[in-house]
Amino acid sequence: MIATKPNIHRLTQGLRKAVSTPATVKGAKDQKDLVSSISLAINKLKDNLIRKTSSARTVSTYLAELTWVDITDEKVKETVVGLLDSSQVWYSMEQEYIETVQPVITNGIAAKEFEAYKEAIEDLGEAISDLTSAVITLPNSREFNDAMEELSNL
Amino acid sequence: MKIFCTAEFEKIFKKLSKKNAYRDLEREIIEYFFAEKIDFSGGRRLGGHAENPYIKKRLGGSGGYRTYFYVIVKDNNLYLMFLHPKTGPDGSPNITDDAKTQLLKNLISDIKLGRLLSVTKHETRKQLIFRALE
Repeated sequence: MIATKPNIHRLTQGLRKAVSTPATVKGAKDQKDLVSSISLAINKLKDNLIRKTSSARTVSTYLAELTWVDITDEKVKETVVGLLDSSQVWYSMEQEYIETVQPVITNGIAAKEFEAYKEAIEDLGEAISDLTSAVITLPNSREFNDAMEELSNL
Repeated sequence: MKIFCTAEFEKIFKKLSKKNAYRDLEREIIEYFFAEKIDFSGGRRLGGHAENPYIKKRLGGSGGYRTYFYVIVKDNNLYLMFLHPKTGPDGSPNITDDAKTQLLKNLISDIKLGRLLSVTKHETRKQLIFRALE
């Protein structure tokens, strides 16, 4: 019979002795530090995603607004093209970031923030594509211009 | 502002609105396009001038489905040319510039052939009514 009074006393004492060693205390502290570091890293990741989402939304809004500007000046057009190029570079970098972060997110970490960020980046890609159509490709398309002309004359 | 649509728009709309995933589509169209004053500033002008802009407008937002509308405003008339959901069971990617041009051609063709439909809303504000132009 193990569960006699003296045995329980001996086991309790032994257990107390075992868990109170400096190594155990140090181990527990290390674990606590590790959890703390992970928590900090997760919070940092969340903050980063929130910040990136906000920036992407702002840029998308600006790009959308630019489609309403009548570009008659070649210099203005050059500026817009430059902005498009920079936005495209940024968009590509963000796509790489998505691929890097994706495996972590699959484990459920910062999932909500990541979804919002991914959607914002997708919108950014569309905003770039729409501004490119509005400023570069469609104005240079004879077919498109002819159709617009025909419609305005109807 | 009077609202018209192409035969293609009506066809797509009717197909989508039957699906549970897009059950809010009709309400969203009514709320946005039948508002007292339509605010196009959130949309993107793909072509045309201030008086007759060719606009791509997104309805729906985060969490739910997103739908893109391709419309033209001309002589205080609004022409709904095309719509496609970006997400949901019928979600599809952006259309190409050639397709955007083709939408214009289809609109012109529908106007010329008298295939254009007038779009109004039912008094209850819950339903769209499509009628062939006489």
